[in-house]
Amino acid sequence: MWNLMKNCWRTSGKFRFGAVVLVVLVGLALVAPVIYRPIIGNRSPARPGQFQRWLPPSGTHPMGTDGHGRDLLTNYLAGLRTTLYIGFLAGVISTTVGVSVGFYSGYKGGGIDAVLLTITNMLIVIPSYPILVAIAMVTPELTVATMSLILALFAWPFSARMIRAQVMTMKERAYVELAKVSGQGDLAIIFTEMMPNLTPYLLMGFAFSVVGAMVAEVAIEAIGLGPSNIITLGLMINYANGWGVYSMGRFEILLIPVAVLVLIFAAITMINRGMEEYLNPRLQKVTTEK
Amino acid sequence: MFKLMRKYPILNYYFTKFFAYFLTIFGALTITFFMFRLIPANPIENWLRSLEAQYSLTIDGGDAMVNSYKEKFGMTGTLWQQYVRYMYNVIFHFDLGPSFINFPRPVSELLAEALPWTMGLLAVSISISWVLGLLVGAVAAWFRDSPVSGTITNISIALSQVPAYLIALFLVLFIGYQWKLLPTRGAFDGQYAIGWNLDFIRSVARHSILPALAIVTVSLAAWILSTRSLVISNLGEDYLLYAEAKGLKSGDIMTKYALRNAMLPQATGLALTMGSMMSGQLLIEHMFVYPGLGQVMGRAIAIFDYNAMMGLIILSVVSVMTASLAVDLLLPVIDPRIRTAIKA
Amino acid sequence: MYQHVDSGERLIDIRDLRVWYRTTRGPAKAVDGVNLTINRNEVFGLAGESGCGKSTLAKGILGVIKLPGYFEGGEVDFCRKKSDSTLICEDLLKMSREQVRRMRWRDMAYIPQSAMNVLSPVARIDKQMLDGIFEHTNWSKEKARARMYECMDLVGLDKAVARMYPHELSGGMKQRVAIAAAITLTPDLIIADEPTTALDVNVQQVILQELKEIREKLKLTLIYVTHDMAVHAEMADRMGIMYAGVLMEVAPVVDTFHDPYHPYTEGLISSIPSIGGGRERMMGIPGRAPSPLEYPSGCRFHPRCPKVMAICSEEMPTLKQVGPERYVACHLHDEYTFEERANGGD
Repeated sequence: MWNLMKNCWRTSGKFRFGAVVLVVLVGLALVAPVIYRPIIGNRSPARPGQFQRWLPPSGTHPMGTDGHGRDLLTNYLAGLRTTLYIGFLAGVISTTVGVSVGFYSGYKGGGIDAVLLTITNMLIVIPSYPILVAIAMVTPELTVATMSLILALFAWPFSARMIRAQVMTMKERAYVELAKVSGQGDLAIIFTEMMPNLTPYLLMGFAFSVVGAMVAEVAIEAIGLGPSNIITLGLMINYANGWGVYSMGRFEILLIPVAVLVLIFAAITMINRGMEEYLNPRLQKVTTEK
Repeated sequence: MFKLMRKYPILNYYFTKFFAYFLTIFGALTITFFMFRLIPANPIENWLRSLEAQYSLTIDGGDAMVNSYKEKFGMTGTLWQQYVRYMYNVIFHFDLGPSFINFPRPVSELLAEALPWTMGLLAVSISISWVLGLLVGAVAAWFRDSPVSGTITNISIALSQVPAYLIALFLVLFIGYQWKLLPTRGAFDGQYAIGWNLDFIRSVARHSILPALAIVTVSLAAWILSTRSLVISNLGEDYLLYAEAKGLKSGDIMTKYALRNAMLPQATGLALTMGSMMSGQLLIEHMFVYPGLGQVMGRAIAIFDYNAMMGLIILSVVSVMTASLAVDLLLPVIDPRIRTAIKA
Repeated sequence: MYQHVDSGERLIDIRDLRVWYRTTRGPAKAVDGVNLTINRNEVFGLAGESGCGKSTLAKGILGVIKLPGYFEGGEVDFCRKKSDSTLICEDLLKMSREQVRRMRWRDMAYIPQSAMNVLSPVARIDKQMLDGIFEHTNWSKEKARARMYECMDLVGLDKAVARMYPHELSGGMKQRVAIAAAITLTPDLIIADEPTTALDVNVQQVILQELKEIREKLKLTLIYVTHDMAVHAEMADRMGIMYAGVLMEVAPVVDTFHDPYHPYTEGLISSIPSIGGGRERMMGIPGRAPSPLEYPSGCRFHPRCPKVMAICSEEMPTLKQVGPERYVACHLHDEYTFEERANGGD
């Protein structure tokens, strides 16, 4: 896996761009508590009424304060933290489920495959937003973990379908046939022969799930249909809209979370593309011809 | 019937596709039905309470009242009985039940009112982004080593996974509020008479630009990328070299060979992305207060209107599945290889 | 005994042609300094191991080199007869892309390596044969169609094939389609790149025979590219042996087989299995062809050459004339001082 990363880094500028942006953002999210301290001490960034409302940016509040008297910078960082965390958690859950189902379905084939595929297709056609919002509405104190779980519920069929397709083609490859003929067990074949070759697809599927979960999370938060007890970048957008920051001339309060989100999505997509480029040299500009 | 199917394999193919179509719709509805019912909510009581608050009156009767409404909304009996009753009404009477929104109007009326707005917006934005995406993608693939193509590709990559509502926020912020160029709320101005008059149509067009633009921006990027990589992988194909050896013009090679071969997967892709486009659009409509299904969704969710939410999901599932069925049925007509594969 | 058609007319004159591929590890010199004259109305066989650059040379003449491939240098003079029977030779590499495009198919056609894949899977055969005609003529639909059927008839294809899709045809039929398509506009030159390699031996024989007859009937010049020396023995008038991006030997086909000058040619010929030739031990060439990214110093064949000398690793031999109609690039023939190449220097 490390080698894969190194090769992608070497071959693709897109991968380099995405990786740098993502590492910086994740780094910021990780060290966020250290940044909080001088501004708000040990209090939660979400607690209202800590400071005067609508303070302009200054030395003590680099981005000013919001309509609830909270420091904006710490809230952005807290939002970034939660958004990334939810995306990561939902990505892990849905990739695990999706990969297991996809693998089992594609590898076994036949009736099991048909049943699993039908269920996967059924879940894929259901529009997830109304149900997500409905669940979020009746669960007043939603935790980050439940939120991730709910998001993963609708994200796994996509990675299942992708992995299944890869497994189906890989099953026909000579080395898998050879392993079967030589009497290796299913699990041994899956883990020693197929997994290593599927790693890049697993990573891509994971990235895809993370993006999907974050898109859904931010969507329902941003339009104000999500839970209001967890600070995420989506919720920051919703607040900014609600406060009417346009008319106050404080565009940046809305623009910052939107821009950070766009950066996250772009970075993950760039990384994905970079990997694809490395795997499919025909997409590269300079190919290694015979 | 089976004899006939063995004689004409194409019938077998169509039959399988239709069967999968109905099965998937049925399964998706069943899953959704139970998901909604398992969410612990009390819509009837909430609704009655909201009526009380709205008209500042007290509704007497208590439980009896609630029960009579429960019956109207098909919420009596065991979960299983509710399910069977609901599915029976939907399948055999196309009856989606009443809605809390403007009770006692049925859900179907509510949806029928909103549907044209959604479909209109969706049709316009999908066709613009698909056609434009195919053309730009093919050109970007053809001149893939030029810096312009590289820039287009990189911008598209960056935008392709950005949700449309973030784009919509930018559009509302700058075009709507800052420069006040276009309206950001509703589908038309109230002062014009609804109908086929020029003012009204112009007003509708002006109102649709921003929401459509938000959807087009993102899906255009996605279509450019997928077309580009399809055409590039086609560029290695021998038939393009051969077409060039024939001395055909670059434009002809691109449209008649490269694009023609890339179009089949793209047509399939169109049907497959219908689902995500539709759910993306629901949010956009909500943001732009557009009187389409997105509006209905927002209101239905706010008061936990089971029937309206189910109706919306049925509508969305059926249209997505119908689009993909249409592709499945058309594929043998447009792709000779599939036709032969079925016959074999 | 060989029958060489010496009309004294050049059709193509290639000078120091270099076609390279850009790669991440530096340029791959697929064609790296080829000098060759093709005469009008001859069959020229281009032979060599796979990866020696013969396919790239064929594509280079047609000018269908695509990035990452590019022309590093050289000239490809193509001579056309004017109505007053004077010859006009123009360098294809100096002409505009548009000019070369117009010449393709009308003046020089191409029979591809794998007819399996050259036909677009989603269009009918007639559409793919006719588009070449319409591009270069202003014929009526009826005239173009009539010509198409005429050519299909020449290669023994039924009219019904025109309405079929590629996947409905066998490999041999697709190859015939490709031949028929190439002769529709009776070009001066046809470049056939391994046209029968993918077919089974029986079909290959029949198609070769047909191709030979058609060529004689239409008086076409044919450049025939294949690694199969037996096919060259049957088809070619003259042949060139390519190795590591350059020509090692150019000679009439009979001389090539009976009295090869270059050790590499000898090796190639000794590796042909002969039918009814007794239980002779087949001799291959030891070692592997060098990578076009990094050729050996001096003569590119010297690491594998059984007759290698000291000079071979130091100096690269040039292709020079060592007899009438005979050219070789080998230090074994350094003492020959035959006159300079007949057409060289103009």
